[in-house]
Amino acid sequence: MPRAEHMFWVPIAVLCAPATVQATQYLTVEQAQKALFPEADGFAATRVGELQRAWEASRDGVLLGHVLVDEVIGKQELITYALGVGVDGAVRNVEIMDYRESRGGEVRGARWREQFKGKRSTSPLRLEEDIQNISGATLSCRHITEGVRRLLAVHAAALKK
Amino acid sequence: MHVKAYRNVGLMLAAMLPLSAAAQSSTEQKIDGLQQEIERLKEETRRLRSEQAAQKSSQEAAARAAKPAGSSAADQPATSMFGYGEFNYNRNRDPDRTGKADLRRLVVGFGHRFNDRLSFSSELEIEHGIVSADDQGEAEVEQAYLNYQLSDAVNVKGGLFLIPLGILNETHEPPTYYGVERNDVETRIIPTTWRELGVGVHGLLGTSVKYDVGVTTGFNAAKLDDPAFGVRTGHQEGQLADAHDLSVYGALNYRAPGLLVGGGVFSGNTGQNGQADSLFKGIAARLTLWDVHAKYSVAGWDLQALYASGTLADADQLTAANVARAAADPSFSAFAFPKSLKGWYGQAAYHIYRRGEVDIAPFARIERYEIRQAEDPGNGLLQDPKNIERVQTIGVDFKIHPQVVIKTDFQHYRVDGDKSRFNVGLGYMF
Repeated sequence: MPRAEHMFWVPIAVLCAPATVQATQYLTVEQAQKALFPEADGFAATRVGELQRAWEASRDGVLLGHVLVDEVIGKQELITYALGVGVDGAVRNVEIMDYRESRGGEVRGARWREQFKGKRSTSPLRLEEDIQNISGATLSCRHITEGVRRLLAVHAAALKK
Repeated sequence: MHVKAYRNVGLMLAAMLPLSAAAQSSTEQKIDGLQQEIERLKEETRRLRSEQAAQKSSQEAAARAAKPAGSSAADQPATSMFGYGEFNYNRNRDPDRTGKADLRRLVVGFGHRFNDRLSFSSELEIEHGIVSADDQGEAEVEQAYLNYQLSDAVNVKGGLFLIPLGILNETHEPPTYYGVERNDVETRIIPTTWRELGVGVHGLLGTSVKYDVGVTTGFNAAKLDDPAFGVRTGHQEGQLADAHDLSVYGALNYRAPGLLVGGGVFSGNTGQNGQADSLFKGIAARLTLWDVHAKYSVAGWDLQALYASGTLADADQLTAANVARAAADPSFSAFAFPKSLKGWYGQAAYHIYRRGEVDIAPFARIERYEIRQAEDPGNGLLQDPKNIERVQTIGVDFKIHPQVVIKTDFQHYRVDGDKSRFNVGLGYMF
């Protein structure tokens, strides 16, 4: 049955074909900016405190808020995420840009991320307290929550002059 | 360059001035004024430049401080390490009040990423502190597998990996569950920590539903030697596993913030064509284990429940083979094989204190399990009544950090009171 054996490799070759595309990136910086501030017509690179990857979102020259991009470690791999903060200091949303772990991808779900909406630097932002955990993805959930808490603290400190 | 430019402007302006004799003195005054202005501009430019340089270097310093070397995705080393472990103390309520302190397990994990799609994961475990020919400790590979991600929805893995049954089997680090000791249902009915050699496909459908399917090695009936732990002692753990009979598994889990609902099934023959013992040749002995489980967190409460059930077919023939084995080998004491297994538990915990990293949560759990055995009364092989048990556990988890927990609890075994015990444990994960 040599032919049948060769046929076995066909589906594997087909499955391997898209391997050249980057596997883990879900959003580029530009896509994350648009997702967080869909109404904005401009994103200008800026600094928020020590944070280098920050952008001012504006529409017709009026500042709408900031997009902050940062990385936290999940269990073994880095998670790249973007935080949108309005001029009022409240979180617009969180977007997961890169997720590299083979488990815990549920944090990319809208329901988990939407828990951050409206949070401020004064919010507790503690996992299992005001942010619900996802079973089996605890470390990813915890580290993103801690990351958002840190970014909001940096944001508040940098903008209060 | 800017300074030169100012100077040239100054000279041009000077050249354009009318040089009449009458106006000469006022022209010279003007030139003097312009020269002073040029000097002032030069000074200003110098000052601005040095300020700009200073600002740039402080920005770079801040960037370095905010992002230590190796913390960006591109700089991340491809090999990572993690670990967990626990130290337990048990004091039984048997007549002798037996007490034991144990470095229950120390686990070191290594992961390696070859590229965006291909990665390796492993856990090496040492149980009970010391491993040697004279000691009771075990060194074991808990998992070691390669994972290839085709997409979020399709991952293929191969190697030694954990079977996705129950809640505890795949997520078993001490800070992730209540109680010093793992619950009895997920020890005696689902043989946590349970891994097999094989290939599997898994992935996320959308961002909430995780599926798992695969083909793996299975149990070996001839190696089963303690029916009090169901089929657990027949697991092969990737150790020269008899693989005449393979098993299949499937699991489905729905996860949302604070909620987990899922279930899994595992099935395969355990006779292994008598490879381990020819007395078992010709007995298929199909094992099928399945479970459903749920976990829900709301308003400071953590609620969890699980039901697991299984059957081992041809258990009568297995018991008969056992009798024949005992007849041939006087050092072997026969037992009645388990034929059906089932168990459930319900658990509730409440976070009474949570501040910063500290979290104190008392909990209570009730469990019930039944391991029914295929008796052979003629040869005196009977059901062990202690294998039908009810357990009540009450205790408290005290987290001094989200990843470091001190636990204590009391467990009451209704049927076999000698198993009742007081436990204290210290566990960690990173």
